[in-house]
Amino acid sequence: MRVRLLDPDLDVDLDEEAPDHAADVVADLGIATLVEEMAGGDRLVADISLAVLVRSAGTRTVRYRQAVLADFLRSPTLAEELAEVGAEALAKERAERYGILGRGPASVLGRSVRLLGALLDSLRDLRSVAERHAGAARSEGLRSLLETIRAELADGYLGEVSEHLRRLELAEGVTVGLRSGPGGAGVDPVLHRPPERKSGLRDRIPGRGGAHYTVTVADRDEAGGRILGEIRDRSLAEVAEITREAVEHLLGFFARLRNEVTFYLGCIRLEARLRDIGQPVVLPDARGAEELALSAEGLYDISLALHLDRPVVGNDLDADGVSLVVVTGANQGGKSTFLRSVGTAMAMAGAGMFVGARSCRVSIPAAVLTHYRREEEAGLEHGKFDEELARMSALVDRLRPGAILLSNESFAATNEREGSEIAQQVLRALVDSGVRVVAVTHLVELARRLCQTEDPATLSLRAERLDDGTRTFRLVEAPPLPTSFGEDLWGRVFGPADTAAGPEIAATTPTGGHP
Amino acid sequence: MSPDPMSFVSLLDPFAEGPPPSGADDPDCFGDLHLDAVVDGLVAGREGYELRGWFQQPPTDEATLRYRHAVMADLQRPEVAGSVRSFSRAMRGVREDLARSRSIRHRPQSRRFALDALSGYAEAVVGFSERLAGAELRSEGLSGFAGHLAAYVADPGFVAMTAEADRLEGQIGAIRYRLTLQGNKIRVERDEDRADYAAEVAACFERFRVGEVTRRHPSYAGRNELDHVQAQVLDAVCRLFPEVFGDLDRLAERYEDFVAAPVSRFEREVQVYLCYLERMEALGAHGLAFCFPELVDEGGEEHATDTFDLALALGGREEAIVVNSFRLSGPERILVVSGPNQGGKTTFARTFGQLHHLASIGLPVPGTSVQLVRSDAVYSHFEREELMVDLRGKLQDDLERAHAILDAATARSALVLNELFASTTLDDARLLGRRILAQVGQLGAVAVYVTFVEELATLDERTVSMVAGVDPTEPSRRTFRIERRAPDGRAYAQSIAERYGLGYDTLRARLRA
Repeated sequence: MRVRLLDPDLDVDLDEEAPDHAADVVADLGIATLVEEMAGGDRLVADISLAVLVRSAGTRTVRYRQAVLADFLRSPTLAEELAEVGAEALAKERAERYGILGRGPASVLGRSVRLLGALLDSLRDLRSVAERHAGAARSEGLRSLLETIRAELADGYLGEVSEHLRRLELAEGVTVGLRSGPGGAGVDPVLHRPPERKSGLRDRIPGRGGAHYTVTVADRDEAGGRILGEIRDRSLAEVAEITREAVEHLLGFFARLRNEVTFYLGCIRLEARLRDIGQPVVLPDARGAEELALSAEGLYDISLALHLDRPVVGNDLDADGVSLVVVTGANQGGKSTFLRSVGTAMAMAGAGMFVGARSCRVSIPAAVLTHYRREEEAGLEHGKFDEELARMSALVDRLRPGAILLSNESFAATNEREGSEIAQQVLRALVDSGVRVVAVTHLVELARRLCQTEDPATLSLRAERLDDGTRTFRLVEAPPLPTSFGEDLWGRVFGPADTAAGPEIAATTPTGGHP
Repeated sequence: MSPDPMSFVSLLDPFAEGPPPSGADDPDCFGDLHLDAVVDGLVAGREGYELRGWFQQPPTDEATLRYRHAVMADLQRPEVAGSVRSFSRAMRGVREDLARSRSIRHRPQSRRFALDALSGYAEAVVGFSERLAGAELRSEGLSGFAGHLAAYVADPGFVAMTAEADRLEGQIGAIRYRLTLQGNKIRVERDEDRADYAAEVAACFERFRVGEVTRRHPSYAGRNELDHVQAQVLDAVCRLFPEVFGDLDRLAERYEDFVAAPVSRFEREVQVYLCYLERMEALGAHGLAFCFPELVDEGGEEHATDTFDLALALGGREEAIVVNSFRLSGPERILVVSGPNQGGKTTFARTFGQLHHLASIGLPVPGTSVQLVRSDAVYSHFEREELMVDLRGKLQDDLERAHAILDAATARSALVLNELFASTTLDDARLLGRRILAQVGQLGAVAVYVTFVEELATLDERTVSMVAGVDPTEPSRRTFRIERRAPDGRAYAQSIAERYGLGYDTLRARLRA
């Protein structure tokens, strides 16, 4: 039995250690705020949501998840009930765990049989949920799950399981067939079918009438009693292992069910919250990597909206066919926010989630990576620039065609000329290798070199500044200007208060590039 | 050659009349040269064979060394070594089963182990004989043994014994019985029904399965003595199948001591080769080669290419091992090693001593090409660890030990003299060193002499100067490379400068750039 709500072909490994760069991506994009909202205080939801978010799925899988999510957004109670059955089943195992005394096969068998009995009830509950919600499923993923549950857990089958569990109570002892092995020891134990329950009939076990001998262990013979137990353990070892595995598999199934549904519960919660705030979300039109799709209307930074608890400025973006987006312009003009909104949308789209926009069409990235300038972490051994280069080098190991790299002031830790030269080579090499790049930079030299060609695959965006110096926090398609705007930032900090600037930017952009 | 299986003597000592060496005491040089650790490592896991004695004393005749070289060369072919190893494994099992059979009083069990031992022995011997026959052996030792073994397995007595053991194995293997456990009783009876309930349960639960599962089939088939309950069960099984177990009794009584003495001696002695061969192969995988040394008479030329300290190599740091080479030609007899501390001087001296000892007992030696004087003994003089407050006393002790060595050594001996007189004044060390070296030179023995007194390196035509250097390109790593060149006290200081790019040539180059 498979859950397969996250991927049509495989069980997504949610326990797998996050890729090396995941922590950077989470920090750079501010994904923690988003995940917190999805979790609603539930640690498990947070872990699972994060695990899904930091791994980009393929386009087909993304569409598959989107359909499941759409089903669940329509019938949230189905998601809640599925997760609940899963959680209850797992709780039964925890309850049984405290009763452990022995680790030998006979004890394992007894415990497994009891637990299987309890899990049998959960399976019946699950079937009833599947029956009640049969009409709610339109997506391939959910439909096939509910059908599997109804087909695999039919009454006849559950009755058969139940009969084995009764036999395995071993009320009438254990019969085992053996060969004579080295030194006369009995080897290759083969368990005979135990009778179902105690009764007066003696002919259920075949061969009762033939020649036989009886070995009796005296009551006071403690060692003998222990040996009897060992023989029993050996006889039951295989069936104990089989039932233990069955328990493990069932628990695995319920855990997977709960975990996968949990991700969708997180999405449901996040959607509800954003609806309260008044921000739109949309399931993006997921395109293949080769299309180089990237366009959106009203693309905003979800974490910022959650943080401020009110609608924030969005941007329209038309970067279809573009593999390099260069963002320049005034400090605190909304560049970093824009970069975060693109990165977050890419990560969410890659996870099969909705994105923060009115409409969105995007090639699903093979991976989302970030290279942000680090302000304070440079260690003693490496200079800041060495650290940046080392980090970029580590990223390059992980980048592959179809991935997207979000670069925020990379290579700014050295002089402009050197930084530009290296950055140009790196970014060009990446783009030419099929990696998409969105780069925010203050390196004027770099921006000019990147944008001087008429290459349609390069898009130059500039943080808008009106003639009177006020910022709109919108990005407009425009070539880079030769100077930055540190001067008026200075004016704003040291001069009279500037009322035009939105306070949200100041609240969430602790660093604004060149001081 | 006689086909009598009892006439085969030894894989190690073709002329030896007496018993194998006892292995009681290591030669004096073993500690200094770390040969004690080498032998510990070689015999580890083979303690029951008592192999140590063969590594301690060289045989007196050269023919024995050739005999051993030839056997080792045969064994270096993987198919031959593989056959020997599997035979040896089987024989270990036989010995264990025999030991059990003898120590267990409960007759049915004892008989079962005796039968296992007998069957295992017959199978091992026959299989080994066949494989040896097809192996095109070149050594006198192995082909001799193969001939004896072929005659042995063709012997009608052996053939009959094997056939009877086989028949009984088959009958016992076919026995099926069942136990029913209830309360404190075990009912024992014959069993024809083999329906497997566990498989039935597994099939039912298959539906829950996720992914591949490799189910461990728990094996409790230990080979220990049964407890009293299982012994009673076995008694009941014997009564259920009286014919089979009656035959077993008769067989066990007829064949009590079935292992032929030459077979067990061969199996023991071949371990000397195998244990060494295993280490050779393991080190070979790290690029550390062995070769058969050319052995020459006293006064002959010595040389070794890419040799190394076997103790260090077996100590688990194969990657860090640096190989060294040396040559003593014409009148040269003494390698005088000088240079920085911890540059590998002592390791080199040990290597020299190990080489001579290993070659003298007929083993391949570390190196790609080696020629050595066939030593009658290796003598070593290393500084004593214990603290001696009295310098005069220490100097006297040093001299007394040196004197004892020079007294015992012959022109065929190899001497390893490490930092003699290190605790004395330079004048004394120079004087005493010169005298000792003169004595060694007169003796004509080959020697390595480690010293901080550079003048000793260029004493006369008998001495060769070897210097422990440090690789200037990677000075942070010790190289342990010992090179033949004139002593140069500044080399080490130079290397430290290079670490900071301040070496003379480097500084020039950087200033030019």
